[in-house]
Amino acid sequence: MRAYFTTIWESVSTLITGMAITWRHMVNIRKGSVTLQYPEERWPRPERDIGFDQGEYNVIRSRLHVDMDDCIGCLKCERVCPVDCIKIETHRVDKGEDIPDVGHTGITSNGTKKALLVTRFDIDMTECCYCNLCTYPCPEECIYMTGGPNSEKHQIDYEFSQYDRNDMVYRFAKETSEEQVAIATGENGEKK
Amino acid sequence: MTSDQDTFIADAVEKALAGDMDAINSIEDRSIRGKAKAALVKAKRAAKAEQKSESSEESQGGGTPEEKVVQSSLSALLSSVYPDEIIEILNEGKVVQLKPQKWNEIATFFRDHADALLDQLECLTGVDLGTEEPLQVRYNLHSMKHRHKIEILINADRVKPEIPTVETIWRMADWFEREVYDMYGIVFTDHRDLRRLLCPEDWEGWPLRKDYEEQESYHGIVVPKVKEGWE
Amino acid sequence: MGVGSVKEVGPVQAEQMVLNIGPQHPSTHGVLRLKVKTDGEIVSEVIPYIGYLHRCFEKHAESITYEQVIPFTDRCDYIASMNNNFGYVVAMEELMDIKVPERVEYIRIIMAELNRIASHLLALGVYGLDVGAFTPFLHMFRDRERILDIFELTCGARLLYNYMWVGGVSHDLPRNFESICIDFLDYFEPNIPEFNELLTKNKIFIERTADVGVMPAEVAISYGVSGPNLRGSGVKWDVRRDEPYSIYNKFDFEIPVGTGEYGTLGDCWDRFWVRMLEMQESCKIIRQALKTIPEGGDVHAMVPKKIRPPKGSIYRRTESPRGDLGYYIISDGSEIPFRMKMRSPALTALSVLDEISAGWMISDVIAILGSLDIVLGEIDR
Repeated sequence: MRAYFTTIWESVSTLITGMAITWRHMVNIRKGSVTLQYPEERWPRPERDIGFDQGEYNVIRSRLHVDMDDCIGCLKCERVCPVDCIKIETHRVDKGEDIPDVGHTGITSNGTKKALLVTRFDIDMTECCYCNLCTYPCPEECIYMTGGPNSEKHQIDYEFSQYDRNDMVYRFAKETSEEQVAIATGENGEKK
Repeated sequence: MTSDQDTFIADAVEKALAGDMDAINSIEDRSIRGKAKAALVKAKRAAKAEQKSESSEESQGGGTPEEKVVQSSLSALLSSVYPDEIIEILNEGKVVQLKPQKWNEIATFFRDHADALLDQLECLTGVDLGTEEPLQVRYNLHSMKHRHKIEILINADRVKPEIPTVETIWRMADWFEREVYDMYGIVFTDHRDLRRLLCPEDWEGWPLRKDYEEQESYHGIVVPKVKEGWE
Repeated sequence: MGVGSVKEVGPVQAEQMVLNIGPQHPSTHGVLRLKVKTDGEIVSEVIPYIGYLHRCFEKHAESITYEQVIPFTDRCDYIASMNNNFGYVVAMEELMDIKVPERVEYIRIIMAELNRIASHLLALGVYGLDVGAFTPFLHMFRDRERILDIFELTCGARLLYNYMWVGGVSHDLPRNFESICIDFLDYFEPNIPEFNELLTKNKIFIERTADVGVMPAEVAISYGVSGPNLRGSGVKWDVRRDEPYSIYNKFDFEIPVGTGEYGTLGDCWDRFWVRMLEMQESCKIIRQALKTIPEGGDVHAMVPKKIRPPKGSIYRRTESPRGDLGYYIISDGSEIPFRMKMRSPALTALSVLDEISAGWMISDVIAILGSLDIVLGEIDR
């Protein structure tokens, strides 16, 4: 008999304690609301000056972007990608020479002379696992994830959904036809 | 290498063995210095091996042609009770390779004997050593009471792999052996419910083997990954 | 397979029914299929079917380099991703005989313990959801979001980090990390008694979980169960204490063990209570680590240019929030692993489900499954 009433008392008291907590949170709703009205409000992404002493570290995971003018075609990012989402094709050209027909600038912004012409640089963002491994080995720092510490180079972009899967393949290299490649590499006799 | 380079390097190595490293470090030509250092390492290793064989001969008192094998207490216990089942003791007694026939008996011995008390099977791994080599299963055993460990290796023939099951002894082996069967095709005899764990029931082939070729299609779904325009 | 054998029970004939708790179900913690043999209410056998999330991690690992494996290990147990990285990195460093700088050890432990809190918050919140309590779920997720924000500050990612590398970590901590972390801990620790009032001491919750799904200690050890599931049955086994790795032996923390307070020892309530207490212990560890972490030092000092371990094999286990996470790595001297096996603790926890849920009702099976805290990503790999 006593156990019967103890059970009733325990049930009622624990339920009331639980409901009191919920009530407290509800009346303090202005202070403690954690819901964001997306897309009008967005949670801020970590910016560069959050206290890093090492300025170049890429603490952002968003869409990949490549500054093609700086790419020397070393294939380091392609090799280190764990899921093979980067595809690059290169051709040998004269080192350091500008080839205006195909838009090849010859020297990167850091002063390195380019010995390879990059004709294909595709990144398939549906395969990318956002592990950030490709940004570390790049010697020219031309592949990076947009935004955050790289906001000066490219604004942040993490809302890049598309309707067609093929639109998620980002082609960074300029379109070059076979004749242009042949002229650039000097295969048909004309050295450029 | 010319002969006077030879003698020059041999000289320098002798001096270094005696303790004078400057003889080698002062060589200016980088390739000769490299060769001298390599010769020094080789000489040191040869001296060590000689020392080891001398001391082992001494401890054996001469007579037996085999080398004395370092054993741990568990492997010593095993070799005293089941000496015929051991193929090899590796890594100072921490790893023991056994024959598969009496594995069930030995496993019960391991779990119940008072000095062993290996009541926890940590991990059961299947290994494919190569396309010409046998398949292998590795068991990592651990005792909660005595806090000692041992690793057991058991080989299985590639064409018809069979190993006695230990699922009645350590219940963990139930699902782990099913996974090894699924991935390698090793049949564990007397397992009460040996069927595939991760792959579908009617999958063909043993995926983790080194010579695995995936099937062309499964119920109409194309199996190999094909992506157009991507190469 | 429909109606099975006909069983005579007195004057009433009971027929055995096979019920399918299918791969899409809100309370199976992932894609898990359970075939439940029942006579209508009492369950006689539960047969789990897994493999819906199998992504061939082990086969992949035989064709990529050691550093490229780390994003793959993240994705196995996607809730406690730091601990997965930690286990892999500890095993590799033991195989290659690398000793990492002191600061790296502290950073790794802080991250692993933060992730342990986050994982337990998810496990407890979702367990409440399974048994019908909808409020604590959101409370716990609100706190979990703050931890994920701390992770985003450090390495940029919220759930799959790729943070711990062989020989170091990928980034150093930001300058204001300590103040942010202490703020979080000061905010979080008073919430734990609130969770207790909301859920743990609630009479309905106790009625649903106490005495249900009792797992005796011998059964647990034989099935290879470890972590909070084993500690809930009274066995004081914690890899951080018994086979210490990194610098866990420098910290002072308790190992909470189930005591059978509200029912039998080893029931669902005990496992829940152990997880709740472990969150408090993790807070203690993080505070101690933040006080004694050394300043400065390069976190990339011991990261090798090419990871090429010597020939050999190693099995090393670490404590993940689910139990003993072990990596068996066989190296043949090249840059690509020869065999990489991940021994997942949730697989052993799921295999014991059949043993401990015989004789309970169907809704109890859901309660038992929730208390085992499985993650299908880790089971299927």
